[in-house]
Amino acid sequence: MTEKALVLEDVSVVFPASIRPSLDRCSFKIGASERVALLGLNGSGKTTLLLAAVGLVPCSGRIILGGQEVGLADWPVLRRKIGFLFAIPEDQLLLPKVKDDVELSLRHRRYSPSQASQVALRILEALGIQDLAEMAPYQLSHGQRLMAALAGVLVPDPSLVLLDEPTSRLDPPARRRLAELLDRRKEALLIATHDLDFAAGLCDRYILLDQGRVSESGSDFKAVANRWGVRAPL
Amino acid sequence: MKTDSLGLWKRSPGLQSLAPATRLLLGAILLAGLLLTRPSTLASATWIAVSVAVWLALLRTPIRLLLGMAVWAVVLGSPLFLVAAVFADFNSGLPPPALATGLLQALEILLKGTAVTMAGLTTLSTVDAAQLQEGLTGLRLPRKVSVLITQILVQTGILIEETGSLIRAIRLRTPAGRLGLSWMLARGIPSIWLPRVMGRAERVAWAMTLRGFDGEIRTPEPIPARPLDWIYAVAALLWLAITLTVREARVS
Repeated sequence: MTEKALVLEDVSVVFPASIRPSLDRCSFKIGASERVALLGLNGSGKTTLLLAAVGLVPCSGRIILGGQEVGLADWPVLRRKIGFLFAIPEDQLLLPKVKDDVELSLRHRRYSPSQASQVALRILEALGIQDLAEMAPYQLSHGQRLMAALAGVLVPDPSLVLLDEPTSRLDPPARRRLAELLDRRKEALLIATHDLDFAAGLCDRYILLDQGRVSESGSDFKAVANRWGVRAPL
Repeated sequence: MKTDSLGLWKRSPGLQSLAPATRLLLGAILLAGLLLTRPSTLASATWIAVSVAVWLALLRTPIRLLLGMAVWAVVLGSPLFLVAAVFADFNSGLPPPALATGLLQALEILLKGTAVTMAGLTTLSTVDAAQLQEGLTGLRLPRKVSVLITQILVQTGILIEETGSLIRAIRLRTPAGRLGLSWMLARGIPSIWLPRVMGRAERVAWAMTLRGFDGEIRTPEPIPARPLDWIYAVAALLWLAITLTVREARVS
């Protein structure tokens, strides 16, 4: 049987002082190399679910990553297999230069400084942003920051990548380039978005969240468009 | 491409042939000298003014940026005049009159504060974020301290950018002439800004956790000091020695 990249079983998140669970017994599986869109309206729990899946918010239920059930002590090691792109990319750009920041992702993987430098330059070239290597994150536009953050996410070749609203604030050509780039990758992808065109063009199927619950899953993105009363994805 | 949100990084084109660590060292020596000097006599005030002028000439900081820094320094220091009376010694009975003495002392603090602020800001304007970290490492500061200082300045830039957008939003949403409404919105800034800062801090901490960032980063190897760096460093130390001598002579 093929190992699943991510399995969630009855995962719930209740924030203190909230009147209802932010996530309510969510269960689903994502296969290796599978691309899944996590759809939902604003406030439906998409970001919370991504954060719970990497152990950044406390939750109940079971999380299984790459066939291994996650206990609290396992996170530091298991997180090395996961890439996570935040909705606001500047939050995860931690070093003064783009290239240094990308190299940071290789630090725990026993790369020598020269190896790390070469690998970082390779991923920057692959993303078409090698010109930004020596620049500081604050000098970049939103789209450039997103690509720089994505370089740091993808450079260690994670087996699972979680992306939180990657297309928000991107212009159409940048959005298309991002879709093409992700389309070439082999990692399992879980993409939280409400961009139906982007999701339908890239993902094999979707999981629909509604008020913290998995309300539906499937591959008919037009059905979601109909439900939301918007134009069906092209 | 976005401009620098801190508004300072690498804006001064002078002294770029020196290593970042040397630039920071020169700025630190100037700061130390200014802090230790009291511009209470014409000679010492002139010494401070000339020193700062020479520093600015070496840096070739754009006039517009200098004016901006000066305005900030004066805005921060001007409330001192309101407390001039506190400095006044009404019991001395000696000329000049007591309030004038207080005003002179407030002026002295304002002058010194302006000089110190401008020296600090212009020092920062000789480097960018990466050079700052490289320079701090070159000065043999503990690695965590250099990382912390760099992070503070980088995040401050982002916060300034966010504050700017918040102010623009307030301007847009406040009809001209509605002072009451402006005041109401301005009062709301802390309650919006602080949670935003806290939210950002939380997200940055998450990113650090996910990326295995614990402050122990590989900083670039400092550029070794060349003869020119040594010449400038020795000149700066000589300046500091003269400054201290002038100060001691005045005290004695």
